[in-house]
Amino acid sequence: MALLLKIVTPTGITLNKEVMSVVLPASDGEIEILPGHLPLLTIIQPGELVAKNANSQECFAIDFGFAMISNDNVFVLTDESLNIDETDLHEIEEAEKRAQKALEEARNKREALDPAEIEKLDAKVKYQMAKKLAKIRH
Amino acid sequence: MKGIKEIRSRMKAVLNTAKITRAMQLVASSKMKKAQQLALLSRPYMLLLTAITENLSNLASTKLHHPFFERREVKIRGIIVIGTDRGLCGALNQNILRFINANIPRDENVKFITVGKKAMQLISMAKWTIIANFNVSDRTEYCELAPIVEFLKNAYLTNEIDSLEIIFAQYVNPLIQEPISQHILPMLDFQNELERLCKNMRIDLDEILPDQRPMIVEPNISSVVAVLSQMFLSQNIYRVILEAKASEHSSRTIAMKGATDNAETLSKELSLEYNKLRQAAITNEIVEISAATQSL
Repeated sequence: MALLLKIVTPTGITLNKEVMSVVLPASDGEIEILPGHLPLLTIIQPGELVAKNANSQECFAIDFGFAMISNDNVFVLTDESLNIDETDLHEIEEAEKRAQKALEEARNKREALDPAEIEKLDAKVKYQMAKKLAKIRH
Repeated sequence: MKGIKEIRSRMKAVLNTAKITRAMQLVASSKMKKAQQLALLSRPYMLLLTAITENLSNLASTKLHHPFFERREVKIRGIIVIGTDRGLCGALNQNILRFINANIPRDENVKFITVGKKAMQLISMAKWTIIANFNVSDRTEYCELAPIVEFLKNAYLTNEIDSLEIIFAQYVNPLIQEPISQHILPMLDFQNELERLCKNMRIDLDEILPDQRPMIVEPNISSVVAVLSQMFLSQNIYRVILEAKASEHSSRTIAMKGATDNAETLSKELSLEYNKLRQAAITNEIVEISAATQSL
């Protein structure tokens, strides 16, 4: 028996694949989903998703979102996702720098800018950092 | 009658204009295709989101307790209008304004949120109240919508607006874009929405719905509902903005095609006139020369 993992973002289906288990960054910490899991709906934090098969694994950096597990289907609904193995660390660092810089600039002219926008930029920076950490780890 | 020189320079100008408008037409048509593709790609996300929300509302057995899902008395209508940033796209923005003037009574308490420079200009000129204006680039990335959604959410939760509608140019076919108004907040009637989506995409609902065992919700229903409703709002707005972009670009394609055709007709007329004048000048010269030889 296996799980069907689907990662869905507004720009398309990033992954649609059978796996043995999935590790998700849930709101109360990492959880691992195995076949036969009870139906579950959980919020996920920006972080790393690991899809494991018998002798291989794939890692994805994912943004804020949801996971729904039912009938051995794992649906992950997130704003953005990225396959870490296919990404260059250098690129991620560049993206992180850009995000940091945008955040700094936004902070410096705080009066002119919407606090919501700053918050969003902050989240972007965190997402970039999560991507970097995940990349270094593998 | 104009001189040969003037006609020649006019012809050059017209042909240059035609080149520019043709380039704009090609650019707009490729951008339109991109927007349509993006809209198609975002469909599975929309479907899953609707399914999860529907699921959750069954789970909470009674009702989802979140201001986004509850009907309340409408004192101030909030309307978000999606226009374009640039002109040269036919009567798109004017049609939207005409639609607003025809459908919204002047004495009603309405607050507008605009997306796109032209929408802001037109609506402020028509003396409606605007509480915010946003811009979305032609690439239409999902993260660009965050400030808009955050603003709408806050406005709705703080009772600055009591309902939210969205007015945009719906894409009917490449030639027709119709302004329409859609209801966004409060969100009611998920079942219908879900069925409509499933029918559009030919997907079996049973595949998405959970098994019979009770569903665990983490960390708790109310925080899940809060996040879900926000994602729902942003996805809805994303969908509408993509459609509005497709309309804008196809309207621009048509407008630019018209402009190119006009320029070409004009250039033909001008070259006819130019040739006539040139021939007249040559004939004149020959007449003069032969008259001169005869008099010798």
